[in-house]
Amino acid sequence: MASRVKAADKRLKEQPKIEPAMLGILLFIVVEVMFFAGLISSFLVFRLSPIQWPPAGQPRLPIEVTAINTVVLLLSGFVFYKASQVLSEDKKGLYLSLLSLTAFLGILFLATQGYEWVHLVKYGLSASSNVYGGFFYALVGMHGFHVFGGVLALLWVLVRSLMGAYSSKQHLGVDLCRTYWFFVVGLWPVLFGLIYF
Amino acid sequence: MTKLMKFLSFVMVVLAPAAVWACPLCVNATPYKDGLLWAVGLLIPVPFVLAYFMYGWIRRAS
Amino acid sequence: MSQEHHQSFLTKYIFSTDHKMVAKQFLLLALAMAVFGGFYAFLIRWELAYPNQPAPFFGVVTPDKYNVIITLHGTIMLFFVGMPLLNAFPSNFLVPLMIGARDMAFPRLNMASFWMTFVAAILLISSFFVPGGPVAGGWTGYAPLSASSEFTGVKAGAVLWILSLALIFIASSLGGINYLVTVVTMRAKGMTYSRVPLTVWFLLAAAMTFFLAVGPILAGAFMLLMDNVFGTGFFLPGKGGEPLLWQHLFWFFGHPEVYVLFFPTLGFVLDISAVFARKPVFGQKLIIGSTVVAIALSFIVWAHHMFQTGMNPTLVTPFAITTILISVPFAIIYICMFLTIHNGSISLEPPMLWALGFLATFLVGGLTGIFLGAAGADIYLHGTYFVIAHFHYTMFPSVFFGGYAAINYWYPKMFGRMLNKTAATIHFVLTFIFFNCTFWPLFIVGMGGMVRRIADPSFYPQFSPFVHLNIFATISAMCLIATQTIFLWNFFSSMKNGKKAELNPYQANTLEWLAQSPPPHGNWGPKLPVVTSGPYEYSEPNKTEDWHTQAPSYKGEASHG
Repeated sequence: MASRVKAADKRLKEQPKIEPAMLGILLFIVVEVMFFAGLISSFLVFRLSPIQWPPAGQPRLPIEVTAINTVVLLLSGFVFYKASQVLSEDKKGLYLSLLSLTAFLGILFLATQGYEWVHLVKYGLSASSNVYGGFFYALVGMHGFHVFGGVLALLWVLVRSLMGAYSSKQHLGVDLCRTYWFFVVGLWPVLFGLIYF
Repeated sequence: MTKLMKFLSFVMVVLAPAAVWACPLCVNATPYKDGLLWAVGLLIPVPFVLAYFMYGWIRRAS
Repeated sequence: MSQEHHQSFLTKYIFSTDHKMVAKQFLLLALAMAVFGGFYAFLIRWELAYPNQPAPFFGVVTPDKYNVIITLHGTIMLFFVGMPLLNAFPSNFLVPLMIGARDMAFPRLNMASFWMTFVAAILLISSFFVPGGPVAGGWTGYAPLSASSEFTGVKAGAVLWILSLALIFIASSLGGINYLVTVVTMRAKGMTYSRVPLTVWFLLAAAMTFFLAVGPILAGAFMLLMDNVFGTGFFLPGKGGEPLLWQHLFWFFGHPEVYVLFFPTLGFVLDISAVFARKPVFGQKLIIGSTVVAIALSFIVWAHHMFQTGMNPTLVTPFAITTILISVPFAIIYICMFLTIHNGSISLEPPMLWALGFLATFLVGGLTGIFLGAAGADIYLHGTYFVIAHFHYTMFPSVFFGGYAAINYWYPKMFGRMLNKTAATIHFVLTFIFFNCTFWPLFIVGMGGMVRRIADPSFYPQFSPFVHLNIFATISAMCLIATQTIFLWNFFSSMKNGKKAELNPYQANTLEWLAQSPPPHGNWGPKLPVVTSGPYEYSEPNKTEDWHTQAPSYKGEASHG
């Protein structure tokens, strides 16, 4: 019965105009954007109020290192864009090295963020003493968590690419991962501008 | 109350709500009054922008 | 052939990816949680009528237990009964059948959505067994009550409550994404958007409203979790936080959420009234347009829950205006409902009775909402039982009248058998009477000034005139809860003993009635239906029959030689 159904459906099937997985991931990003809109809006309640910000006695945030780190993340987004471009021209070798570079830059970003966190904790930026520290860890941590998820997806796509799963005709997995990665990359400059300045 | 008085009191409610607010203890009870106003104002358009974007994407793709 | 179709018990009933089985799982979960929610409702009413007397099956409801009970009653009824019963169950069951698809777009995501909801329910119930007991800060979880254990003495319970809610929100938004993608990409041939039945439209409206609104509350839940676990102070004034912020985040989600629980019922009622009045739905395009306007407005009304909280007064007038404005699209939809039934040849089958009951009772809830939306009146009414009465006059008709309408209407398609009609009618009549007897007195009590969220009214001498009304409401509530056993008996016994259902017992046009009862795995025979007409073409002039199906060429399973 199941095989009969499948054969019949194949005959009837028109090429679907909208890729369901792509629509799904876009809607998922909509939920994510609303989530971060809620967090940012909560942050702005304090940032836009006439109070001293940052409060007295807080360690200075490492703006320079984070600015370089921002460039690293933006670069990874650009490299991913290039990678999917060369995939559509079936340059498999170049595609693989560009995709690996994307994953490497993503991991580098995460490592630098983690390194900064350790230092800030040492210098006494605590989450529990006031809202300033709490928001720093909440926003940066939540973004880091999403980058982590994006890196996992990237590594999964990389493994599948090494197995030769993608080509110029079949690249849905790469597209989905790229869409999500662009969201993660595009979000960071906004958070960077809000938190560090 | 004349029509003019009604109209003026409505204008006052809109322009200077704090002056006619019936709860004298609540107003200015929080230091974050302005921050809340701005944060709310910035949150309101987000779902509309997203819904418009999704509508456009689906329209374009199909 | 049978080899391919063989499924073990585990894959068929537990980890099923079939949309119909997932729907039944959601339905059973909702009914099971409704038993808990109903029991808590009984305890609340008992304490209000007979304070400090031991309640049957429980014992004395002390004030701290009362706080726990009202919190869990609200949480369970809205998130664990309302959302599974009105969104997950019908969306899963009806969306693929009504648009002529074989399953959801992402069947495994669907299964994951159910099991996440199930784990969320377990987390909530398990908070009874942790030190400090379950959360006691009210279902709205107002900070700082929910943000620190120093106020209610609950810590682990609060963390479990937050985790449970976050999990069910994530599960429901994944489900919502699934429904929307299914409708956009998997409609059968000829099923244009204007031929999609209104039930599907409204289920989509609910899903869309939900996943646009859920982000801020997830952010709030994350911050509340940090407050509880890592000792941050986002919502604690002592640490420079702002409790009002939680209310903004909560109600930004909370107000669209009540429409999430209301839209599906509008769809059911419109579909059911078209079938049982044998008339096309009046103004289908007008209804869809009004819904879009209502969704848009639902995102800019939330602060009317906060008129009393010391919110920035500049926000008050705009939000009062939008709140009163939002009754316009709903009034249009309501009038369309009445005009659909108007002059029809109405048959009072149980689903139609529930639909009419919804029209009658929800009207009261909707109209009293205008009192509360006007900031001036709200200041006097907000803290009283008037709000409880208004809220239950909107939510009870939506969740239970609408839910029962859907269960009664689609039961033959779900289980292949008919419900007992006499029992279903008695269940409706008694529920309708006792529901009104329970909540109408609360309007009077609230207007009289009785304050809500107070465990022992006998402690306040000014509430003594309301003792008799409270006892009357409590006895009615107990009868209301007892009446639901008729439904439970009918629901479970008809699965085995009910009359065998025909393919299309109501002579309805929509696609789901073409499938077998119950539909097999994959829903349709070898060929998918091809749609050639709209869903509501009833009683057309110059036709011998007063209905015709949306896909007349569909031959079903039998056509295969």
